[in-house]
Amino acid sequence: MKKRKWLLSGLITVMLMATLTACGGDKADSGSNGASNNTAGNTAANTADSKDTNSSAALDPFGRYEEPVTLHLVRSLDPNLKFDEGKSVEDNEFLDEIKKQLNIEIVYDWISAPADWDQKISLAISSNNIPDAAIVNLTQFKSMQKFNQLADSTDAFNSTASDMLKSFYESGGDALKQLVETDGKIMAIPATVPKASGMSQMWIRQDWLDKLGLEAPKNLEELKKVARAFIEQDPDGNGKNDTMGIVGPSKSGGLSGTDGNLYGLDPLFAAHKSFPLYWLENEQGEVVYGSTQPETKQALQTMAEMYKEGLIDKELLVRDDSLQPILDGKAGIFFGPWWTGYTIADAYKKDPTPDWQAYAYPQADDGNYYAHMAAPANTFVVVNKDCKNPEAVLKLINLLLRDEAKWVETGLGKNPGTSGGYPLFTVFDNVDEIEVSYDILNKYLKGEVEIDSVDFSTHKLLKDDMNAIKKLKKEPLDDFSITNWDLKDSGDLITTNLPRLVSIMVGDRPLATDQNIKEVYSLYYGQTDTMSSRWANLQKLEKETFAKIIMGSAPIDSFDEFVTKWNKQGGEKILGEVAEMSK
Amino acid sequence: MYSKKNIKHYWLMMAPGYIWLTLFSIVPMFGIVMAFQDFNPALGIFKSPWIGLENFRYMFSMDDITQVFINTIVIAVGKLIGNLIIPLIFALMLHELTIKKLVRPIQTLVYLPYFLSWVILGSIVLNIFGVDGPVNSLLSVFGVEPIVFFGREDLFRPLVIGSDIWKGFGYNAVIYLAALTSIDPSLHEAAAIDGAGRFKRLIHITLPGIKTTVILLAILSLGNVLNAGFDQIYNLYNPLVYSTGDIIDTWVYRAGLVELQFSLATAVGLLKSVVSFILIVTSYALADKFTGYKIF
Repeated sequence: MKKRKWLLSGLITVMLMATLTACGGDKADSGSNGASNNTAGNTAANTADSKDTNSSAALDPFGRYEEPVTLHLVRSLDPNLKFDEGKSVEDNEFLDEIKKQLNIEIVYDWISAPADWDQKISLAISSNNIPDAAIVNLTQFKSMQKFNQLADSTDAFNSTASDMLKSFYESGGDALKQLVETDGKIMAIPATVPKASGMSQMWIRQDWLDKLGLEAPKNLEELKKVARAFIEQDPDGNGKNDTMGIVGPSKSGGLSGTDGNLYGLDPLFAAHKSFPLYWLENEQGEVVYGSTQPETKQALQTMAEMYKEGLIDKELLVRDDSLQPILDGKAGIFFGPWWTGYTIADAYKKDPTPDWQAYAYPQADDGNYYAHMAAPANTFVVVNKDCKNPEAVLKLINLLLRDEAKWVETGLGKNPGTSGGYPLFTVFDNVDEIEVSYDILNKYLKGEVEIDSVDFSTHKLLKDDMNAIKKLKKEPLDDFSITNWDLKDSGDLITTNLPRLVSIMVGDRPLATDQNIKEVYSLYYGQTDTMSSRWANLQKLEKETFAKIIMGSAPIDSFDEFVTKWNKQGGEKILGEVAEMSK
Repeated sequence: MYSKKNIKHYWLMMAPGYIWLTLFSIVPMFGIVMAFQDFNPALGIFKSPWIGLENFRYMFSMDDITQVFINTIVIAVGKLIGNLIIPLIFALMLHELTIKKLVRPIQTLVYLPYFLSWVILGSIVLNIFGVDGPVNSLLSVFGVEPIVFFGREDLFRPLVIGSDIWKGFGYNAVIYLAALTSIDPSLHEAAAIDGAGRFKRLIHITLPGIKTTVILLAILSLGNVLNAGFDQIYNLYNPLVYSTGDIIDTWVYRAGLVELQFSLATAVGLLKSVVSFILIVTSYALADKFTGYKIF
């Protein structure tokens, strides 16, 4: 009897242990983390010893280390990505290439799902357990700098950055320097983004417009009329009253942003010359905050009226996912940046009827389309101050920039591509990359440019784009409606190239061709001292007030109360700091 | 029975729990000193500068911190009461069910949502109460205009409390069902012979029989009054319902992990822990007084 009891409790214990270890994945992780950190210390010490032998090759942008150098990195990884048989994120063609060309070995301290990334990296910062280098956002970069966790990358950048990387850095101008340099020291390597990514524009169902005999709406009044028609006149022709006008942001999205804000209502603000979240100079030359200006109040009032009439998504800011009504063919208008073309092209594969086209509308009263522009970079490669080989980080970026196009061409590591397999992958680009691509692709289609006459040295993907567009595009070559793409016989290209081409040719057409676009920049994109303690709270106040005004649960006059509160709760102090910083 | 020999395996069974408690609850407790520092991770908790009560002062100077505490308590108390009463009613109904064959299938069915995380359930709930969701379709039959449920401040708390009860009542009913089966059936038989109907027996036998369990559970859950459920609210809330739905945990999350204000977030978390501690001690004393329940 006793024996059996022992056996039973033993069994239960084992089972409990099993569940505990299964659930305690995190703990096991952090354990191995600690272990790998120790080895990090060891290898770092080793490489420090061997640094002398390495020094000659070390500073050359593409020089190969004689002794292997180990970099400890972290990354986010989409769990749905498919790697080729036998390959993984920790063992793939790109890592082999890095080892072969640079003699750098990559060790991942941890890998997280994209959804957990921010949380994971924040925890790494708070526990001072940061890798040799990482890709972070502006808030994280500035915090790490404040906490003195970052290396001064000036010397490494000057000696080891390739010419292409340096040209990207220069293309960002003073605004970029202001963002990453402190007292002339480069504290992070910015991933410069195409200018186009900062601008939102109107995407509209051209097939619905045609069906109802309407034109693309140029201003707010016309936009209201079209949205009304989309709701009332059954554009999808199913006999049901189930279509909506303008899609709004989901519960995790924002009404407006400082970047290309997909599903945001930024152009509706801009049509009133209102730029929430932007630091602007008023007519008296004072620094003001866009969200608290009278133009913003007007914009909110217009939106509240539109919402009440049902022209804007009823489930604005409540919706779980704003893409769903678009995929379901229920929505006719939304706002988003050029790269929304990637999403649209994915939808084409399922249902090729919706013909989405992009316009720099609605214009303000003066006939201009005001586009708020993003910071010249919003992701940064930061280097740990204890990293023994900061130049190795730059070499990784150099190699990616130089060889990415070649890898795409030869099909190296095609699954899952550089974004899934290359360490420290982020998009580095010329600020005007997309407009240049639009221009050259157009000329190429018209036969004005030959593929051999184009200089691809600073354009990573253009050659591939040119080859693909020849195969994908049908006559007439200057009309980019969905019916004029060859969706039947293009095989893989629909997955690999169509999304980018739609993004460029449809999504960037406004910025590349529209003469009435006025670009609006913020005076300051960084974070001031007071912002780091008060911003979360001020943002809460702002988001809550704006959402309530639009959805009618607060009167428009609560805007004035918001302005008073905002100033009182730290806003005034922040304005002073921003004025100081932007001088 | 009670001898040194057969006590060892009890310890063995408890070991995983103790290891877990030490690693995740006792060791991190040293981190609370961050609440009194201007914490800088590069310096660590030993070298970060001390700033006394500055974080607390700032916390109380903020307009909405009171509202955040009120939201937390209202939602948590609502859940606490609902999670006590609904499972009890459900357990009683299940117990009284005459078709015994149905008991198990029903129990399994209502048990299901308990196993889903709020990330998934959040989406489901949002869709059920969406403008095109089943609830609004049903209402439209009666001519009611579509309601944006999760955009309404006045509806957010009931929805959160309701969906939490829905998720947990199958699981919570288990304890009551166990207590119900422990009631001596001969009492029921005797009462039936004396002419007591079903309802009379419920009032005079069943309810007094499980009274101690109900009181005990009620008192012990007092310690959770400041836990309004981060996972759930984080997956359901939006800026429109901040005024009724922003709780301490979501506030700490936004301040601490999104804006990286570690010290301030710790200060708020510490205040929450202190209040919870007082409540737990009180509830333990009450449990001892009313039901003779003792752990130590």
